[in-house]
Amino acid sequence: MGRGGRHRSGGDRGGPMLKKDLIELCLLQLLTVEDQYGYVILSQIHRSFPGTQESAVYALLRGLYKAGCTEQYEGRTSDGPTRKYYRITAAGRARHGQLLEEWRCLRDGLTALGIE
Amino acid sequence: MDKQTYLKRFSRAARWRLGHREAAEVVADYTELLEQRPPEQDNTLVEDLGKPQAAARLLTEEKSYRRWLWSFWAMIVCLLLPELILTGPYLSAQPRPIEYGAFFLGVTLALFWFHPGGEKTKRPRALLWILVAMAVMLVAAAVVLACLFTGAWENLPLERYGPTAFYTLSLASTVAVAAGIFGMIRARTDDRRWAALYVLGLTTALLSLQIITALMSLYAADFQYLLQQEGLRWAVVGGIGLVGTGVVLC
Repeated sequence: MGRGGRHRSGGDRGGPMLKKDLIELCLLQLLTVEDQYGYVILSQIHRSFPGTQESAVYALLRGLYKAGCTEQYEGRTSDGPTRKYYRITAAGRARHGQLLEEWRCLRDGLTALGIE
Repeated sequence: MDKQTYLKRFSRAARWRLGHREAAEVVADYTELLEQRPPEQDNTLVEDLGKPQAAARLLTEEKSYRRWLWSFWAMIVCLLLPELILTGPYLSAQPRPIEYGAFFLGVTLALFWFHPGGEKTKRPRALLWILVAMAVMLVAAAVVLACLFTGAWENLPLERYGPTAFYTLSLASTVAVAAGIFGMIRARTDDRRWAALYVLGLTTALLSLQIITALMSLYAADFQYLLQQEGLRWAVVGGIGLVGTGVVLC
């Protein structure tokens, strides 16, 4: 289960959206689609952000868990072994919505400048 | 670097920075992650995950880590203080309140950080052996002092009594301080019960200093009077130290 607590990032403080916020958005996006276990999440993010080390992505995933945006449970994979799965919480969905809004603003701002 | 080595180094760094409970969770996560990595990716382990120490650093909550570092250095200072007084120019014939203050602060901090609780595991065998070795050393030091005070060594010239007592106690104190520092680091990175070495080391260092201080006083020649004057104080310090050691060992 998540532990609650306050999750802070550039977006929270009303500052510029940072790469870590983008990765958090991606992590939460993956979990809105379906519950996933750590290795799959990290592999997918690492493929999208090859310059970012998996330990940094794990730290963000852990931060989201500690902030109560995700919760964990033991589940079985299709091929057998038990894995620790992550599930998005209501707080996580709210955070996802907030980050998504920030991302759209950023994207629109960049598009207005002709950056696509 | 293979997975085992990576995990071992990561585990040590995580325990040092995060404490036992938090480290246990992240090490379990890393164990699961590493298990699932294909063996052919072993040569890119550090490249993909970062160095173990850096990976642990990313997970560190600065506030709680800083609190641990302050406590750690405070405990080290408390342990080194009697040794510094003993070997430096500040040795006096009167015990000073700061010596007792450092002792109580050190024991309190050790009990705060490494008190019993949580999952019961087997006591580290190496810790028990080191505690036995320290007990033997303390008994040997006590025997030497007893022989000096009772005049059992008739062939030893009188002028050698003082230096023999001083060097015996200094050696016991130095060994105890070294064991205490080692125990404190192991308590954080391995099993919390290693902190027993710290409490015992702190007690030994203070008692050694107290005995040397008493021997420097004017009434040191009268052993019975010396015991009457200082015995209760030594017994209280020794008792607190032994109880603290026992509590941490539980």
